[in-house]
Amino acid sequence: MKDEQRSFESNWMRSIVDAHAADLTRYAASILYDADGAKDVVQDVFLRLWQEPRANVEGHVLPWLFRVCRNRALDVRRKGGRMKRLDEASAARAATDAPGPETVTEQQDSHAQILQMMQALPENQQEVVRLKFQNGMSYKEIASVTELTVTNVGFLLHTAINTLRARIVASGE
Amino acid sequence: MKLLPEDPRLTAYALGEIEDQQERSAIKSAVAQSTELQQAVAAIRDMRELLTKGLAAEPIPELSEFEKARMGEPTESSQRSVVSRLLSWPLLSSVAAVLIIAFVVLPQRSAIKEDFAYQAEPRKEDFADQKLPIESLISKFQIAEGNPAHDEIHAELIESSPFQSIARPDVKPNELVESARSVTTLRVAEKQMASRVIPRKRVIIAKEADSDVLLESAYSMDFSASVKLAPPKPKAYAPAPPAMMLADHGMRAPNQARELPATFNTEKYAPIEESGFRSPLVAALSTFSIDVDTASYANVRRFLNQEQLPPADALRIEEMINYFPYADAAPTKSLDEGGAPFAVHMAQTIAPWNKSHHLLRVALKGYEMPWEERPSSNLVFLLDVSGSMNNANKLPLVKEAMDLLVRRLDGRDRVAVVVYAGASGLALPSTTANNYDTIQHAMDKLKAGGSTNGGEGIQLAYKVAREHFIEGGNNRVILCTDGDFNVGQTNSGDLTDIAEAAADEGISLTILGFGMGNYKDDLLEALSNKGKGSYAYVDSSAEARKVFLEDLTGNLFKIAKDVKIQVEFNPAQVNSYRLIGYENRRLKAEDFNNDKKKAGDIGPGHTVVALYEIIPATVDSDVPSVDALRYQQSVEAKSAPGEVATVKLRYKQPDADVSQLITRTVNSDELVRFDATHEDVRFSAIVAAFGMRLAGSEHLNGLSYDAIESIAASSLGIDPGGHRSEFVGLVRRARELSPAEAPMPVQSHGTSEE
Repeated sequence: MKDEQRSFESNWMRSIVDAHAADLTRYAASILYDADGAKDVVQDVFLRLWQEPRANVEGHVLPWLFRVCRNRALDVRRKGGRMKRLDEASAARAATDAPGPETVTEQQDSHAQILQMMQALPENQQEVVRLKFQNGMSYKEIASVTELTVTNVGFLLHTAINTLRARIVASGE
Repeated sequence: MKLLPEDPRLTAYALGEIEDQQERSAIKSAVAQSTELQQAVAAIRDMRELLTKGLAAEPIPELSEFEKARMGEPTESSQRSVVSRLLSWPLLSSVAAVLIIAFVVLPQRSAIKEDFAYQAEPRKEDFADQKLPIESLISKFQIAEGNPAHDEIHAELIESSPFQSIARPDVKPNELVESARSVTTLRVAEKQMASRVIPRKRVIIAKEADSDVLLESAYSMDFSASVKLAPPKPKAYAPAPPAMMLADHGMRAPNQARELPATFNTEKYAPIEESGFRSPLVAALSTFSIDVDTASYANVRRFLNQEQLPPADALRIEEMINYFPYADAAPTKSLDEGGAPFAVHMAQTIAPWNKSHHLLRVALKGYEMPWEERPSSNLVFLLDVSGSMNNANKLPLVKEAMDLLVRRLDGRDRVAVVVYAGASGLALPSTTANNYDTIQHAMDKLKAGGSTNGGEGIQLAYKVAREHFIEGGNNRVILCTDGDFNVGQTNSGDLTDIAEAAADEGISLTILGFGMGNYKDDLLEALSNKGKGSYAYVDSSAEARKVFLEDLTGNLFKIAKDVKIQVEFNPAQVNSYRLIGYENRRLKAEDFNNDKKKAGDIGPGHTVVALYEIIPATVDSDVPSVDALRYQQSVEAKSAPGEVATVKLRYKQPDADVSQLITRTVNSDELVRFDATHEDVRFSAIVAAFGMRLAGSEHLNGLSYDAIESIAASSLGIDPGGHRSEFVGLVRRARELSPAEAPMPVQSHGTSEE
């Protein structure tokens, strides 16, 4: 009986890991600039999920995971253990980026360009942009992850989009 | 509904985020009527596509199957690894752990209940809008041990929300202490935890035994082990008596301030009396000293984030205005090439709160000195480590702030740390800043405890600064405190005398205010004014970053001193005028030309903005006036029909004793419509309006928070650092907190033409 429950939980857990581990790791890496550190953080997040009564998270697992992930990552970063300088880290990230098939198209260039422009935004704007467009969250979910108000999320996103638009126009696209 | 392309609701609409159906259809029809809005919506959606694709292309760190499996089976593998990490530390068999506990009254409002354990440390980072959970969630305990070889254990009390009080079945909580006043039962996380020696002496006591705790502890140990193991201090640290800890207002949960304002809140503010209108016939000259401080804004933000409206006396409008970066052009010629230390910019517009009144904006923009050009620094940090600083948003934040600063300095610079509490002492002798590890080590060892003797500490700090004085350099004491000078030389007059005397010798004083509850704003402001330094309030990591990274050169160096402004108004054009803010910076008219009379300094890149509200001569007002002077009028009075005012500035080079004069005239034809004026002019005006609104100013003419929010939102500009967006959020919060002004229905936001 207990074992049954356990394996049920375990399957549920496994499905969540499969669905979100990669996104969470990328998100944590965007805070830590460190892939290995990000993996540790995500492991901690799932450890916490395991300990959380399922009823507490059911229905809003995604924002829950991201919030815990964010707090954990910021915690690690604040303790300074793994923080790297931004330029160094993005260089490292670019280096480990596996060179895909020989289709380095123009489109990929424009992707890289928008990422680069995004990195010039204030960190809080970057974060909401990421949560919105990379992880498909609603304003409400983002608000719950970042502990901002929905209004604030709206302002940050709005400002970020306007700034990016202006920069794209300025860069002559 | 009238909607501007700058309205964030348009973005929300374009992204399908407007939940209210009525609002959505209102926006929809507004968009349908305007091609401009349609273009904006299309552009936002294009941007969404671009970002979605771009971000999807961002590489994901690769997870091996093994890593995934580990994530999916936390009970089997990872938890064991946590436990085994714990077990790798030596057990302490003979612990007599005595806990002296100051309790916190627990807040009920945490809706986000899952991550309380992680909230135990401040890491608001850039999200300044976040509530300040730290105080409410933790309190430090001091644990004296039986074994003298070990120093005290700092335990943290972590509070969880009431939603979470179901104990986990798998961990047996060990009841430790029942607080008499609190409804909460505090429990030791795990028996073994409490009875185990941890090299860094961090035990976490949670209300609820929860493996977070294990995790958290494991982390701190892990971290400390990898960084350094401080040698144990020989002497046990004397714990403060419980009564004193209880009286420590700094530990009170923030929302309690509202419940018990009279008994608990001992914050002190000097009264501010708003300037009224004056006729130029009565007083033709308005004279004041510049003020580059920003503390008031951060303090106001802190209040609003705690869901309290700030007291009127905490509102220094000039500090709110000057908090924000403005795009006013700085002088391009460097100081070495004989360039002026600052540029002067004037603008006139219509007051947003009164269509018949004008605003005159005088902005000074300091030369933006490249970091490499900075003079060598001799910095002495004077840290308050009294019991009241023992709080996550105080001492740890101080350390973080110092760390940010020290990382930017190098071998040319010196850093020393003086601490003061019951006794003051030199925690770090003056050391060149390239010895980062030494400095870091000294900072790590700092901890809070005891009562404050600010006076003795200040004297020691100045002594150290004098001993390492750098001729022509930046000699400065940086005082970090919550302002609780409660032992010894508490007389604010004596302290300001010391600061003033040191300023004459060339040692400036910068003050950073931390924490809340017994924060002595009036004393700190007076001290920094006398000490010729700046004064900032640090309420979050984000603010620490602003003060130490964005504003650093401005706050630490000066490019001109004794900067005074005098404005002469022309009665032919001006019925009456009023200086907004700067209430405690006003000077006598004759002090303007008196070089012995000190005034504020300006640092590299600083922007100082002053706003005058002007009632033009064409408008009737009931401002008391006098008859035209019979004897003086004709002597020098010039017929200057188009001139509104003459603005005069005096300043001295940092090492000069004689001032220089800059004179500018303001002409009536330079008036620009409010909506056509530069966004910086609009934004500074609206910050003033917000301050006036919060202070309940009669001059505001009933301008609503909604109108303020809408104008602010349309004046964001590029908003480097996101400070202006944050301001808009604060306006909204203030409106929500104001009983008189319930949230308005969806439609009109100031631009009220439907």
